[in-house]
Amino acid sequence: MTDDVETLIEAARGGSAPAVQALFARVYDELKILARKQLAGAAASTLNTTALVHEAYLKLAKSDGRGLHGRVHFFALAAKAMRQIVIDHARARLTGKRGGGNVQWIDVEAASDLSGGELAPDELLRLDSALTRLGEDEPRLAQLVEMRFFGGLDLAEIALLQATSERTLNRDWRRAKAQLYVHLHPDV
Amino acid sequence: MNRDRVGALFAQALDLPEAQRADWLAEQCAGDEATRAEVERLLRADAKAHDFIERSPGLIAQAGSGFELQAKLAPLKRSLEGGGFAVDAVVAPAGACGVDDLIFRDGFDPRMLASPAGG
Repeated sequence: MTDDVETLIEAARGGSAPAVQALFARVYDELKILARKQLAGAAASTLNTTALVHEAYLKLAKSDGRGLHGRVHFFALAAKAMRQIVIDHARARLTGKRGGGNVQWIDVEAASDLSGGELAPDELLRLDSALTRLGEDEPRLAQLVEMRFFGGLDLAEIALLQATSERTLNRDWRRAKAQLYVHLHPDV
Repeated sequence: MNRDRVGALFAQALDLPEAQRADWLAEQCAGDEATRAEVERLLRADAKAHDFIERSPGLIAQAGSGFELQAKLAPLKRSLEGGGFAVDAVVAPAGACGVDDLIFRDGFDPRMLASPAGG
């Protein structure tokens, strides 16, 4: 890891709330920079969130074989940052354009559209609320959803990062999905 | 209702053939209808969820969005910058937009505005 990122991760692991916030800000800023670059590319019409998270990791970290726990923290924070980026875009999409009349100031932040897979922007916002509630009751499940859905990591990668079995994670994933599905479809 | 117990019963139920789950659950939850109802609810959700949140959301640039406008603005931006102006270009969100005006403020720091096509 670059020195300052490694220092922040170590401090975050030690429970330093300011370090967690600083690390989140670094990761968030890097993801936004990478997102803008990718979306501005002539050949790039779709931003792959998985690739983005991995690219941010490569940029902020040195792959020196150490710091597995550092990678866990990094990817967890990167997933959280991607969640915020995606949800911010969903809100902007629903809010619409600013300004009045025919002349409008146009915001680069709203320059991309959002594809939530099968979820429309309003459903993404409801999912975000449901995920926040899940996080209050079962933080481990909420983090799993963040890392998989928003961070784009697959269960095998998450199992490796968390030193747990894929079977266990698969069970957790199905339970997290079911609980979130119930929140979005309470008449199930 | 114990959340950990709900989770454990849900995980164990997944390992059973669907036809056996109801009887098994009734036996496990004898006297605890709230837990049984919650596990059954999660199992129904699991059966319906399918592709729910299986694909990560992506950010895409659609045809007719700001990226087409950016392509139009780029040559103009280069021309202005070549002429010694500092340009702060903004790009449009989804929707067809055209560049109608350039406003030069004091210090020759133009900002590009865009208005909706036909507006």
